[in-house]
Amino acid sequence: MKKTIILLILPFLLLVSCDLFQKQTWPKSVNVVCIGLNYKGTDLDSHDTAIADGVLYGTLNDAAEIQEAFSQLYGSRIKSSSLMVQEGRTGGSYDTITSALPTKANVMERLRSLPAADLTIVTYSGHGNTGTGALALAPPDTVVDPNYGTKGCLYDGKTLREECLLDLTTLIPLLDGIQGKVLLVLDSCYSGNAVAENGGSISLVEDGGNAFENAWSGYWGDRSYQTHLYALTATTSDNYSWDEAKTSDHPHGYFSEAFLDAFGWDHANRKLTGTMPAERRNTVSLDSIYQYIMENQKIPISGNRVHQHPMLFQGADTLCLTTM
Amino acid sequence: MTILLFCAIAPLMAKTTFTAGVGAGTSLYLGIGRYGDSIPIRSSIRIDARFDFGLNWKDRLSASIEIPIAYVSPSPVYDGTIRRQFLSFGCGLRFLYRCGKRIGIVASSSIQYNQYFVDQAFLSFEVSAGPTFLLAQSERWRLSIDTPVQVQCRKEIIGLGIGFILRGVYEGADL
Repeated sequence: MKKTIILLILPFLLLVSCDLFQKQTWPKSVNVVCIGLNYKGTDLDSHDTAIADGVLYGTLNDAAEIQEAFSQLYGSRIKSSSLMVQEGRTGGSYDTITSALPTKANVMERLRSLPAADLTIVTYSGHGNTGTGALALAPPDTVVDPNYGTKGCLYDGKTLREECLLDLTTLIPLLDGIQGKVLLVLDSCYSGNAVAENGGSISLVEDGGNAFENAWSGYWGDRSYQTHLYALTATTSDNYSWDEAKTSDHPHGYFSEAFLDAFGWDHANRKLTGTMPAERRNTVSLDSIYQYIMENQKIPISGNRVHQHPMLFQGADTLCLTTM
Repeated sequence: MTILLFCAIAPLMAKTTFTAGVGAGTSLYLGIGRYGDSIPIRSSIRIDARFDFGLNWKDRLSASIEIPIAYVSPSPVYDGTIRRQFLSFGCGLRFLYRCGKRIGIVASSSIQYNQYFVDQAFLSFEVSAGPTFLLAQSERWRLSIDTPVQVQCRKEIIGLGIGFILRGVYEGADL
């Protein structure tokens, strides 16, 4: 008799402790921080720079529309929403230095001061530093250029200034300190550096050649597994991220444009259409967005010509962004 | 190595026959996180296909090389996260011992290469054991149902599978 009772109780305990019986609304509260820089009015926008034309044309649209899309998607569940843009004008006029300008200090301060929320979304559209993928943020000061008036300088001679570079080794611990789950979306060159090895999973994008060998190492290695910070990036750790030409009527970064499209964003009317192409089984997850971008971004994901391959959080789990 | 072992042992066996089997089944896949997940178990559905070929000795014991293929579905959303779906391909060994005319015990172990649908992969090891029941048989064919408990050891998760696999087995003439 005792054995029968135990046999009956055991499956019951198994079932009630699993997710089939634990439905929830997710997320109940959301923070959004969207950062975009066009580098106009900086030394990336002048004839004497180390970079021929460092101005980006789609980044401001990226940041503003992603912020607006999330505001419409989450509505009253938004606890904090910030748009931090650098939008100087060509020919010397750099931005006024305020707390909304995405300087390194301002971005770090904004991230530190976020309230606790179920989900915090941080997006960045701008330059990524060669090799490391560090975010190239707005200069915190100006200099007077005799030919162009005041301008912000990212370069100190031929190297980028420390004050303008937010390294991923600084950014990621900062995001780790935020309560709740965090989604980092980077549309910048070398942004794949933000996707860390996690648990036993391996990427088939960057290490596809020795997949079994790498999976073996991943299984027996001592990598820990975290499900707090999720990253979705425009490109791999060794490649560029591209934005549409300045001649476009409504330029975006290719990745950000597809990211917005995944939520059903209407670019002309700046609103969500209500139909989300990335929806799978009544859920929009990071995986379904990744798959949508892979299939729909307007630049090839591989090949010898210009291309960019998105990268995604590694591991057994994926993040849910909204349920229907 | 296994094939060589079979070749070495085969002549020693009387009444040894060649067998080849194919199976398909489904199970409830309970993923138990090994990393402090916010819920102890996340559930998915697993669909299996299996192919095996090996030797049957005196109609009592059989040993085969098995190729298991499986699909594990995503889990429902809990605390903002979903267990990823994946496809699994493996290679392993399968043993069957027939205790009676219609009942037997089946045990298998395998190594599996698994691929998520987002360009990521991982490795796992699996052992399974449980009873098998003969449903029907002819001179050369047997139809049986296996009801094993499957334990898949992943780096972050222990996957527990509880379900059934319907198997058709062809048995050749004596070697």
